[in-house]
Amino acid sequence: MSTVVTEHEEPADEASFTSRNILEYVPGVLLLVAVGLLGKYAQVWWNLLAHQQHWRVPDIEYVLWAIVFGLLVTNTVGLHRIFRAGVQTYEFWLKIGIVALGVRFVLGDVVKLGGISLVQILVDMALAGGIILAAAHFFGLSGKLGSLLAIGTSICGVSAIVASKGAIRARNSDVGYAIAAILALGAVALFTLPVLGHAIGLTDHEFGLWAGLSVDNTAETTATGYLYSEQAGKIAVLVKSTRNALIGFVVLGFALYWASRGEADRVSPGLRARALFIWDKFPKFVLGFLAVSAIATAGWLSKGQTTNVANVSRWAFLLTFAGVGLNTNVRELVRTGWRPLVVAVIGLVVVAAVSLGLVLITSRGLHWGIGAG
Amino acid sequence: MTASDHGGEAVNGASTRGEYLGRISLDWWATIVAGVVVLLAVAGLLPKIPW
Repeated sequence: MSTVVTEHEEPADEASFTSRNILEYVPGVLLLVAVGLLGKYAQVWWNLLAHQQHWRVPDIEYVLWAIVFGLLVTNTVGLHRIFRAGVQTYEFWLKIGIVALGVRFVLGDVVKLGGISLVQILVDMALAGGIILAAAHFFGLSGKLGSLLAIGTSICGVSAIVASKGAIRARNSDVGYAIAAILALGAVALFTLPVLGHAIGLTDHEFGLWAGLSVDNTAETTATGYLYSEQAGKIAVLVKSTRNALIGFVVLGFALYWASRGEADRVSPGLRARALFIWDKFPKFVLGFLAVSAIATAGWLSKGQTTNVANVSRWAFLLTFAGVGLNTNVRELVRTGWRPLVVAVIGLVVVAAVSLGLVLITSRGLHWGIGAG
Repeated sequence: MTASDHGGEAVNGASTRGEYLGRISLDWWATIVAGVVVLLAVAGLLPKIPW
């Protein structure tokens, strides 16, 4: 007996559209705009103040200001429910930003960097995934929670976890734990990786690769990269998109494993059914990014219009960064419990260490690399 | 056919259209919106976007 497991369960980021009534999004989107603008101008005001007072202080990027303002709102006065629908659209803005960012990449560079990062991702996934599964077993977590943490930590965060939910028949509580752990780690990575990157002396290219390989959730990956520099942000987005493109293969692997143990629906045999399964999980916005990169490479855009599209990407990312802060509720993350968090922390440290090693070997040892325009 | 029948058809049509639009995933919506922006840029119709 075989059952097709190409269920159309909504990925986590589909939660971005929680209502059919467009007016319900307006307050939250306006809040994203307000927090984003406040962050953008806080950078300008901070630098102006430092200049006037002759302070020697670091330039604090608008990315950090926007996230911190968002965090302050959610974790002090709280987010009123009228804002929730709009604030949850931040993943939508993120994807618009990524597609539009394609304008800054030559298609050949995308293929080259995608190929380089693919090798790194595969090594990273095998090592980190294995260690996380072993740590989950050691701390007595259920096999499926371990699988979800391995998928989320080594592949691509919340979207991957929710995409796996139906395929491996995971319990809702395990899914909730895994998502909370991944989000907590995203917040930790956001504030620690740029500091470590500067301490180690990574170039923008190296840091972008590192952030793209080691930060789990796409929004946090983008923010971490842009916190370092714009160039690092672009590279991080490209590497993370390559990682995201593998989601279908990984979920299929775990679905086959759990089906073989009789603890998930069987996946239909045959190449076509499995190709459909992978397509169902594939992040389609990656195709948009490639199409825009192809248009830019073909020279169909003037220099001025290229700048305009790149600026659309910047504005979309600004709303995303505000949304990352506004959607991070520290109290809820603490309530998750310590064990999944410990396993996820082990995952983050392992993924970060392994991917840093890979980045340094490939960029400084083998001299692989390419930049974004 | 009564006016209310016409109204019913209109409501059904709108709800079918709503359901169809609801089936389009977030990824595709983001690609469509960004695609429109890029097409406007290709046509030279995208206004200056400051940063």
